[in-house]
Amino acid sequence: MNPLLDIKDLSVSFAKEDGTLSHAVQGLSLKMGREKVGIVGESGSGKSLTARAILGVQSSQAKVTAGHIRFDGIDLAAATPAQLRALRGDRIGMIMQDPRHSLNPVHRIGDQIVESIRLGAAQSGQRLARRAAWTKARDILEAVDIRDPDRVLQLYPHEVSGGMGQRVMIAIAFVREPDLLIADEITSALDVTVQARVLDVLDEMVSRRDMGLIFISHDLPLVSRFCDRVLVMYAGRVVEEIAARDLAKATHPYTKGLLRCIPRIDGPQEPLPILQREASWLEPPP
Amino acid sequence: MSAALQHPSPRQARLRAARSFARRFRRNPLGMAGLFIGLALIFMAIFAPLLATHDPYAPDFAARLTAPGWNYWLGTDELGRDIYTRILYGSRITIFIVALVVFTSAPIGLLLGVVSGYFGGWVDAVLMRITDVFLAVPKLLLALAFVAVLGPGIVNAALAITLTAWPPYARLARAETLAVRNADFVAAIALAGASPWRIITRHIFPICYSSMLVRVTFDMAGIILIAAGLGFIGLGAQPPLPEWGAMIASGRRFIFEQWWVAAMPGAAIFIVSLGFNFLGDALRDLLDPHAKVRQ
Amino acid sequence: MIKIDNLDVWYGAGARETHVVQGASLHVERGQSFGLVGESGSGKSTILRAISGLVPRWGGAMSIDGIDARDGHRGPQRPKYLRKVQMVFQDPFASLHPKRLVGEAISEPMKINKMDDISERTDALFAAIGLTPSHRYRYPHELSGGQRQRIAIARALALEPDVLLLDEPTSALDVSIQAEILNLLERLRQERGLTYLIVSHDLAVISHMCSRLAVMSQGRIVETLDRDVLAHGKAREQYTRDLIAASR
Repeated sequence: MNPLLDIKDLSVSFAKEDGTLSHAVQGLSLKMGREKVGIVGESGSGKSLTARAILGVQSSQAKVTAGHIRFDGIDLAAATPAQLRALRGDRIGMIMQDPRHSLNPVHRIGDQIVESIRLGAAQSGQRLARRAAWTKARDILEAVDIRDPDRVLQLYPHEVSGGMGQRVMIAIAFVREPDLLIADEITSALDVTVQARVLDVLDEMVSRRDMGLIFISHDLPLVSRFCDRVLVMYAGRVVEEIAARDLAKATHPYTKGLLRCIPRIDGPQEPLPILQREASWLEPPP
Repeated sequence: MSAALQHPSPRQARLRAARSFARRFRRNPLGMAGLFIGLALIFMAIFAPLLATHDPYAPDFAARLTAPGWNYWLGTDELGRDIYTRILYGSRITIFIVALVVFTSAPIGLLLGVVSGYFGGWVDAVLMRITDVFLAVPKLLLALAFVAVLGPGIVNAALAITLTAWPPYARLARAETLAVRNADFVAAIALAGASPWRIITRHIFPICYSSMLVRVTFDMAGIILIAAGLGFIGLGAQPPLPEWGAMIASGRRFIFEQWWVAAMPGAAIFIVSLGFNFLGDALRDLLDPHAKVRQ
Repeated sequence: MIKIDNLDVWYGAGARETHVVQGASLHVERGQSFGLVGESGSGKSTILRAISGLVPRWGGAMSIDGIDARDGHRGPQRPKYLRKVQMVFQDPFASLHPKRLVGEAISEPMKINKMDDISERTDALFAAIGLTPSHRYRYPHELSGGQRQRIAIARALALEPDVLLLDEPTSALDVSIQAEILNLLERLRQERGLTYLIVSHDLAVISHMCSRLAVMSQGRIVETLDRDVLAHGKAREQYTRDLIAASR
């Protein structure tokens, strides 16, 4: 059986002003099934670029190379733009950090969900009446823990809070019931209590439909609570891959340093251990 | 950080920023063409006496309306004056008008716009309604009325253009100011005890400079056209001054037989306006923050 | 040092008026580090802006080291007030002028207030925040986020204030950089005997930095408690306990 996603040796680079290449992602390999994989790293570690490269939506200046990127046996590198588009709409979904940038500001939320539902139906050869699609949109919003879906459907994106907007984005991502969902920093702009609810919703949806999830975040403890497996990225490389429940037993000094420098509510009020970066972390692992 | 990033003095820091800007500018061929045209214009104006082949004012009736050729490169006009020489000297008038307009209208617009945006309230309302009044009257009409009152001439033409040119700058500066008025760096300097005047001149002006520069460069083309237009209808530079618009006007009578009399200064206006447009485009690509997002 | 009694702040006017801070009171002793924690929209940052005089309309009483805030915000007392209290903003990208050298950002407050030995003081401030004087002649975009926040801290210290208002000083930074900035802030507080009022959405950051804190929700202070009480999970109010549970 094929793995859901099989990436070998993915690299993303940019041309610098002097013509040389700067490597933003280097030699990333990942094989995953229908599980929750976390990618963690600080800003500039290449985690978001990795997600974009998988989807084929990187910026035009980025140069992507890979041994292969296979999704359910389909070679994404060899796929035509039309095939990629179809895959992105239908089988691979993505949720971004700021819902207000991902939703069209001049259309009601309800209209945008309905549009997405009817497009999905049309692609699988069905015609769905507007009214039926609206009812379905209602159900989906209820599924993401929105209590008054009828009111929310009538709102414009700027009228909802961050947490609500993010749940709407999750709802839209699940309309097409993709096999793989990529979530890029979807909770980092949210308050902690809202964060927990959004993650509960996401967890519920992913488990119920048996999907694969790539969860990208800078928040190591959060990812380890939420995911099955964690990839820790530093300066474009995966420095450590570890089962989430074993995070406390992490071996790479970067992972350990990151965990140590986070303040805790009941921790001592002494200077926090500072992460000492070492040049050797930039080398490819033996 | 590499050693190249060490700045031992503020002058070197600014030099480094300028060099980086120049490097990016050089990658834009149309911008370079525009810059070349602009520099050529200045070069022509400075060295007109050296580059000239004839006297720009002395009539030579024997050589009236000579076609372009070996002796008169771009031909002669109805008084036998060399058109090439007159275009050379005309570049001085063009630069004079453009400079006069830019150095009066841009500061006025900048100051009014920033003051309006920074203080808001009734200051904003009053200043912007005044701006609206000037924007509502067609440019050329306003300039015409002004020249009609003060009498024709280069300086009056330039002042008339200034009168119509500052309102867009005020609008632009106001918009830029509104965008940064509540920014943290403005709050921070206010908390350091800076006076409104200091905040406006030292902190908000620099924010407006790039978009003003882009806008001014684009407008230079328009200023040249309006100045030529005023010259053409006899309200700008007066004969015998070799102003390009006035030259076209005098060539109008012979346009079918001796086309070069009108066409040569026309071509000069065309090339110079095009050059400023190229330059403006290139500067906008480099300086406009909104354009950067789109790339 | 900081006394706030029954502070009310309103934004907007007429039908769009919102009452963003409602009857907040807090007292902070000299040398203490006091935290304000709450979720977005709770009004915590507004309190700092009100102290700084950056909100148009407020009611109640505020004073810093005995200077009434109403006198401090305008009038002859303002320079004296500003040399008592300064603010560090959340986003180090937005709080530094993009076209001015960072050295100017630090020296300008001293020039405005006609202090002497500005160049030496600037160098000393660069040393205090762990940067070298060669960083003086850099533009903000040539520095990392952490370095920029250090510059913002140095700028706030330029007038040698007694009180620093810190508005989410590390929330725009990676955790490894956050640790460096928090350590720096704590060291500066001890060395200079500063009083801190820190705003954060992150309970752990507040718990790490402060000896006492107030929990805010929807414009009101829900509970004021000692850090030790928080660390032992003995909060009185349900809202605080929910927040603690979500932050673990």
